[in-house]
Amino acid sequence: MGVLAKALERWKARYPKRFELALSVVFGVLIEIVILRFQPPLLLVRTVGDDTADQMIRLLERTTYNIPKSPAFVLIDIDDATWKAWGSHLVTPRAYLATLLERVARSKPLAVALDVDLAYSDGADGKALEAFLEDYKSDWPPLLLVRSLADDPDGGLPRPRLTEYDRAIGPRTVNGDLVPAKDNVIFTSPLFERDGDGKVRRWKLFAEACNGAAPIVVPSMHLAAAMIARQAVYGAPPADEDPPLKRMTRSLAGFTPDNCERANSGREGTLDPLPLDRPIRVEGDDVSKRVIYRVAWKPGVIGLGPVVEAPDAAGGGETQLVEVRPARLVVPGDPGATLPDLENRIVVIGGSFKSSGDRYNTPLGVMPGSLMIINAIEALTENGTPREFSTPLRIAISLLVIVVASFLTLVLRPIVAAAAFSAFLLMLMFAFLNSFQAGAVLDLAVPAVGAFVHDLWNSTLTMARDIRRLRWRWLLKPAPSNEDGALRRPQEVAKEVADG
Amino acid sequence: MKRWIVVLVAAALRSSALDAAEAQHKSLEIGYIENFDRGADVYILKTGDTRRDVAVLAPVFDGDTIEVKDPSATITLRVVGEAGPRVLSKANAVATITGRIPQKGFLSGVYAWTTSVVQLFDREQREQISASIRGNLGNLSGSQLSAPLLARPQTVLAEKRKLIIGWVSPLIVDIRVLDGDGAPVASGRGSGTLWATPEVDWKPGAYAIEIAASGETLRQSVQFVPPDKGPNLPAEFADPAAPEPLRAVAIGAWYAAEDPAFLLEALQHVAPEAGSSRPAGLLAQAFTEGKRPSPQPPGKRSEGAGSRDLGALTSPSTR
Repeated sequence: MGVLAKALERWKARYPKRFELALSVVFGVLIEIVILRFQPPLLLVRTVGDDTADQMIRLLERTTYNIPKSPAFVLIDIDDATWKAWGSHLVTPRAYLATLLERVARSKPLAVALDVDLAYSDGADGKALEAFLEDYKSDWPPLLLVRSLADDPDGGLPRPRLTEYDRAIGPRTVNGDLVPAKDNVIFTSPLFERDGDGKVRRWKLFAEACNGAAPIVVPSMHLAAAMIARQAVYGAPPADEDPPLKRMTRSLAGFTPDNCERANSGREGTLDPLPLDRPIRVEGDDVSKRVIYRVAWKPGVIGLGPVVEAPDAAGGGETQLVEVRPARLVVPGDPGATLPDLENRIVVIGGSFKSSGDRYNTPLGVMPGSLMIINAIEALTENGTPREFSTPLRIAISLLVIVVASFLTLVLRPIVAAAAFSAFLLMLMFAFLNSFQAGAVLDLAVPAVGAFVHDLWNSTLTMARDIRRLRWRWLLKPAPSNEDGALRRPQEVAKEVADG
Repeated sequence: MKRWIVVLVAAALRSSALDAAEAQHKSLEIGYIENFDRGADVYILKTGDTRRDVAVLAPVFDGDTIEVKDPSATITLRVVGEAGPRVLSKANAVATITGRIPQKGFLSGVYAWTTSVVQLFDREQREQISASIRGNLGNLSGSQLSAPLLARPQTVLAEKRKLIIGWVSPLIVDIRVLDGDGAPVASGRGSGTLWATPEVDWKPGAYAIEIAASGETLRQSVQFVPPDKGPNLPAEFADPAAPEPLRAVAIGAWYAAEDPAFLLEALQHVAPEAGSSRPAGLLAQAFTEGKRPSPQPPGKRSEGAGSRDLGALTSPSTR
C-alpha cells in the first residue's frame, strides 16, 4: 500500500497535469457507478435527461423532411370555426359525431379514433350516436372510443366512467337473441403523464382500473391504433391469425391487477414483439415511456409534419404525415357518402378549438390532445417503445463524456469549460440524431450529472484549499489589479481594509 | 480534439445529406377542395392526364390543373403554405395548382432550432386556465334529479317502521309516499341523499314514492308484502351473539344480492347504522346509487357522481 502511495506521489510530482486528469476520470467513474447502482430519484438527473431529449426532439422535428414507412393520418378537426358553426355547445353534439363517424367509417380508413369523452352527455337523447354504434358493421374499420377514468377517493384503482353508449357495443339481447360484444369497437384510455414542469413527455400504454369489483386493464388509444398500424405496415406475426386488437387484449391480460386495491407497478413484458428491432414493451424505466414527438401544432394549416408515402389505395404519391380537415366540411354531406382520401389512413377525430380545454404543453410546444395521440401512435408504430443503447456503448459514451469533462475542466477556466462541454454534448446529439429517430434514446442524464458533480467537486476542492490558505480573508473579494497591472494578494486587500 | 470535432460534425452532416438525397419527386398532396357552388361536372380536375372526381375534401396534388367551365361557378381550394382560401373561376382559364411543403434540410433545421433556443419569451405557450372543477357529470344531461335506487319497482316488508328513501341530487327535494288511492301517507322535504318517513304501520298493498325538485318529478311504485311472504333470511342472521351493526350489514347485503327489487328493503337495514358503522355507511351509499353486491350487466350500471380527474395523468380528449 505504501509502495503504491509512493509511486502515485512520484507520478504526481513528475506529471502533475496527467495525475490530476487521471484523478478526475477515476472520480467521475465512481460518481457514475454510484448513480447507476443506486438510481437515486434525483430531479436533477431526470431534468438533465429530459432537457437533452427535448432538445433532440426539437432538432429532429426541424430537420426531418420525410419518413417513408410511417402511416399517414387524417385529423378531422373540430376547430374554432366548426365549434362556432355547431353552436358552441358545452359538450360536442353527439348527433354531429354520429354523422362524422358514419362518413369516416364508410371511407375505409385503417382505423378510426374518436378522441371525445362520451361520458359527458350533450343533453340530447343521444339516439343517433347510439343507433350508429349499435349498427356498426363487423367489416368496418376498428373504432376506438375514449374511456375516461374517475379517481377512487378511498385510494383504490380508478373506476371507468361508463357511458350511455356502452350498451350499444357490449353484449345485449335483441328480440330475445343474445348479440355478442362488437369486436371492432373498443373503449380505450387516452392517458398520458404530465411532468412537474407541465410538459407531457410520457405515455401510458394502458390504464389499470376497477370495474365494479373486477380489476381490469384499459388499453391506451395510441397502443390500440399502433397495433393496427404495425400489422398494416409490417404484416401479421407468423402463425398468429388473430386481428391486432385481439392480440393486444391477449398481451395485456398479463397486466391485469390482482385486485382493486392498487396497481401492479412492477410488471414488465412485451405487448408486440415484432419487428424484433422495435418491439412494444412495458418496462419500469422512464426511457421506454417517452413520446418521440415528430409533429408540432400550427393552427389553421392543412398539413402537419414530415412527408410520408400516401397509401396505394388512395392513389399513392406523397402526403404530409397529418392532413388536417375541418369537421364542419364533413357533416353537411350525405351520411352514407364516403369521404375522399381517407382510405388506409388512420383517422383521428378530435378538437383543437380554444375552449376545449384539451391543449397540452409538450416538448414541441402547445398542441391539442388529439395531435398528442397521433404523435404517440406514430412513434409506437415507427419505433416501438424507445430503448437505450446497448450497455457497452452506454459505458463507452459515459467514459467519453467523463474524460472530455475532466480534460476541459483541467485546461480551461470553469466558465469556458462549461460552454465547451455544452458544445460537446451538442455534437454528441448531432452524431446520435439518426439513432434517436429510430427510437434509441441517448440518455445523457447520468454522464452529464456525473460531469456536473465532478465539476462541483473540483470547485469545492479549490475553494477548500483557498479557505485553508486565506482563512477569514477568503471572504473578501480579491482586487483586480494594481496601477501597474499586477494582481494584489488578498492579504494586502485585508490589510488596507484593517487600516481603514 | 479538433479532429474529433470535425469527425463528429462530418458524420452528422453526412447522414442528414443522405436523408435529403433520398427525397424523390412523386405526386405530392398539397391541398384539398373546400367548396364549389355548381355541379361537379362544371369543373375539370386533372392530375397529369387523368381526370379526377371533384368533391369536397378531395385532395389536390402539386401540378394539378383545374378548369371551370361555367362563368358563374367558383371553386375554393385550400393549399399548403397559403393562409387563406384560393378561389378559382372561369377567368382563371386552366389553372395549374402548385404549392410547396417547406423543405427541411439539416443545416436549415439546425439554424431554425438554434434560433428557437434563443427565443425571447414563451408567451405563445402561455394559456389561460380556469381554476374550477367540472362538478357532477350527471348534471350535464339536464337532469338535476336522479334516484337509481328507485330505477325499478321495489318490494318492502309491511310492518310498523320508518321508511328510509334515498336519491342522488344536490337539490332540496320534496318527497311523498302515496297509498293505492293516491292519498299521501307521509311527506316531507329532504336535502342530502336520505330521508325517513315518520313511523307508519305499513299495510300490505301498493304504494308509490314521489321525489320532486326543480319542476321534475320521479315516481316509482312500491309493493308492501307481509313479512312472511318475503324471502326467507338465513337463520344465522338472527344470532343474537352477533353485534347489531354487523347483522344489519349482512341482512342489507343479502337482500340487495337477492333481487334488485329488494334494494329499498336492503337500505332499511343499513341506513340506520350508517352513522356508526363504516361498512353500513358504504352500503347505504351504494344502495342509494343503485349499486348491488353482485355485478350487473354493464349497461345497467350507474355512474359515479362528482368524480375527480386523475392527478398527474392527463386525458387528452375533447368533451
